[in-house]
Amino acid sequence: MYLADFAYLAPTDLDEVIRQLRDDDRECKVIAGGQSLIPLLKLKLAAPNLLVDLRRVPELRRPVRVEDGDLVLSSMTCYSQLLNDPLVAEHAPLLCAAVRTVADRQVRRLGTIGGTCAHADPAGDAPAALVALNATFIIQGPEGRRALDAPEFFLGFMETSLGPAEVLVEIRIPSTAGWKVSYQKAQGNAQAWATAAVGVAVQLEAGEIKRACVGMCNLGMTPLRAAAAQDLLIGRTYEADVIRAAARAAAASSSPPSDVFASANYRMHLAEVLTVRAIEDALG
Amino acid sequence: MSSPTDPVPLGVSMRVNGVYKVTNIPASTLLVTFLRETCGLTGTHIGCDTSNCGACTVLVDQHAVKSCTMLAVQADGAEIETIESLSAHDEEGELRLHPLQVAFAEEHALQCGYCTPGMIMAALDIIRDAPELDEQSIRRELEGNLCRCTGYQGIVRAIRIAADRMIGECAEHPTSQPPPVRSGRKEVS
Repeated sequence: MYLADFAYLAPTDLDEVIRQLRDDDRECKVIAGGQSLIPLLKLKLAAPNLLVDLRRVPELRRPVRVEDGDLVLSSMTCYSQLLNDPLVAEHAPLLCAAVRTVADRQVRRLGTIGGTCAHADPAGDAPAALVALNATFIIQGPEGRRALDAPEFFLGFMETSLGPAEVLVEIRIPSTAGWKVSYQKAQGNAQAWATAAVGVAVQLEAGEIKRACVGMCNLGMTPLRAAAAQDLLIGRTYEADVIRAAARAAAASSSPPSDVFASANYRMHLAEVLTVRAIEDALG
Repeated sequence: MSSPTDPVPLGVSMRVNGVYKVTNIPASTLLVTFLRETCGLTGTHIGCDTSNCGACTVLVDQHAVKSCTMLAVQADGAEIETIESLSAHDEEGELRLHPLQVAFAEEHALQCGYCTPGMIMAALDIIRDAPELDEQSIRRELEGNLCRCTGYQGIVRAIRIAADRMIGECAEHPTSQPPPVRSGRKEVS
């Protein structure tokens, strides 16, 4: 397919990216790995006059690291890098479990953690895990840096609080080293977007759940955190009625869309089933 | 007068199958279009054009990507390997196929052949990553490549057999780190 023409720049520092985005009065789009944007360009759902590529900005490609108990991921970290990094496996096992289900190895080679968050498709797997894990999003723009929690970052369907000249720099995830996790995804085929998915991470102490994170994918206009379900799990042990109650609470806090792949009712049903499976798998 | 951000052709340079290619292209050129139309390497196929089928799979800096969902400018400065790089004629003028190509032929891993270049380039990446493969891991790693006629039995078998042979080749040539790829070194410009 031939794309509509656009101008292209690949600056080598972040200030230059921001200056370009701020000063250009035409429609600009930022490209990271392109795995969401290029399909949109093909469909003409996005028709930018200028594409600003982040691939040459060293500040966005720093190695995965741990700082003050947080796992820090630069926005241009691609999925396959993330899956091969022992620090991610140790400190954010739920993120690994979610990312392992994204598309296929070719897409995971180019697709980035920052790109999927900025794209904010509610069916994105990584954003659901990040919301569950209370990640913080570090953004830089003409006014400087700001940090946003996930609910402030994801505003709606493909909508974030990133301003027109702002760039997602890094994502900080509180360490959940040693937690038990599971990511359960219902999908039409192996490489499809999630019809719905639920991710669970629990911290156990002598069989009792000390802390719990429950994230939901494609069960609302944004990735969601099932706070009511989390509250029902904390302080409890592995009991069937506890798990069922938490799953019902998760489903009740979802507000899924209806589309050609599934009705809202069916997704609501999936929310409950997948939450049961995720908790059982994590605890089992 | 054109401003620096007008959509003018951009200079890119890539090493494609061992040959440097330096040219000007519109920024909107997809990598697959660049390979097929600018380099004349039509072995890389366009199947679905929606990054589902994997027929357009090539290696960029040693890793498989779907070239229909990458801009050529994103690969500026990279090393590209396509299906054309795998076979070559030896000194006697005899065609030497890559172990993957041999195994695909032996195991009837193709019928119409449309998905084959992408299957083989994806398989090469999978084997380089972890040469000791069982059937389940081959099936899992191959989820990004679709075959709509011959089915996957022969393909999975061929990849496993080729991986074993490539490990064997490595054992014979201990200096070569990843399983060796024979470069075609065809002129593309």
